[in-house]
Amino acid sequence: MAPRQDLPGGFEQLVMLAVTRLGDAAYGMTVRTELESRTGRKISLGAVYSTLDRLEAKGYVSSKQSAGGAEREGRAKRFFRVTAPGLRALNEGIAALDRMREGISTIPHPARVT
Amino acid sequence: MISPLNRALTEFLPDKYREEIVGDLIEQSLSTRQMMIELLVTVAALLPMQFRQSEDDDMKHAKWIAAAAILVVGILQAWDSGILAAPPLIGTMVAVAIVIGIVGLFIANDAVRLAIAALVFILLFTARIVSPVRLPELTLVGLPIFLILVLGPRFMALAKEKNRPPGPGTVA
Repeated sequence: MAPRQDLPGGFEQLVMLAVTRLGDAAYGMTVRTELESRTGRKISLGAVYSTLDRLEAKGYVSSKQSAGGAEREGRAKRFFRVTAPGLRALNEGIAALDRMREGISTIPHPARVT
Repeated sequence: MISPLNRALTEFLPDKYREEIVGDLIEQSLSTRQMMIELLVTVAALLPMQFRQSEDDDMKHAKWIAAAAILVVGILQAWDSGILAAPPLIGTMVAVAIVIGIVGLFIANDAVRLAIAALVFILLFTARIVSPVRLPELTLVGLPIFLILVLGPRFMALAKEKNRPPGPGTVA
């Protein structure tokens, strides 16, 4: 049996989904904005960076620094992207969540809600 | 432009992401006050990251030895100062000073570590002042903590540099 990966937690899954949605434009501020607009909750930049750092340590995301423009007074940007193992773990996590809520009438699956 | 106070706050961000976080906040065109609030929240949220610094086993080993040294020397010096005759509140303040000194060892950020070293001295000095029992040597408890927190990382970095194998371009 192949060793099982550590499943990403709830907020980790949200951050990985935001990074995936943003594609090549995923850096701290855009990830935060994407999370805030889609979850409707206020999220601190520290929480975003802290989670991205943890995901990078697990090998679920990779990052690359790039030079910043005048709008950032030349400060560098760090772009993130979800790695192949990260994508696998994210899919496993979401699938596990789906299996867990299967048959619970009070938490219906969004695809089956009419 | 960042105000001097906000610039000082950025020193408490982890070295790894300081540049990027400050850039992100500048990009938002926040007012000085808004940026200060954002920085305070961000610094607080990233404090746990300060403990997750990547370091080799030798460095971790050295830090645990230093932590044990702070604990033993701190307790001995506090006992020698006559802390047992002081009220429990004074004993608690000294214990907190020793504990936060040990916690400071595992923080990578220089500014946070220096702030902790200063806090240790403030706590010990306050304990000495408010104590109804005379404890003239109590601040000495903070001396090894201060030395290890301020000079320890520099010595460790120097030792690491000295033990590093020569690179391909190094002349023997």
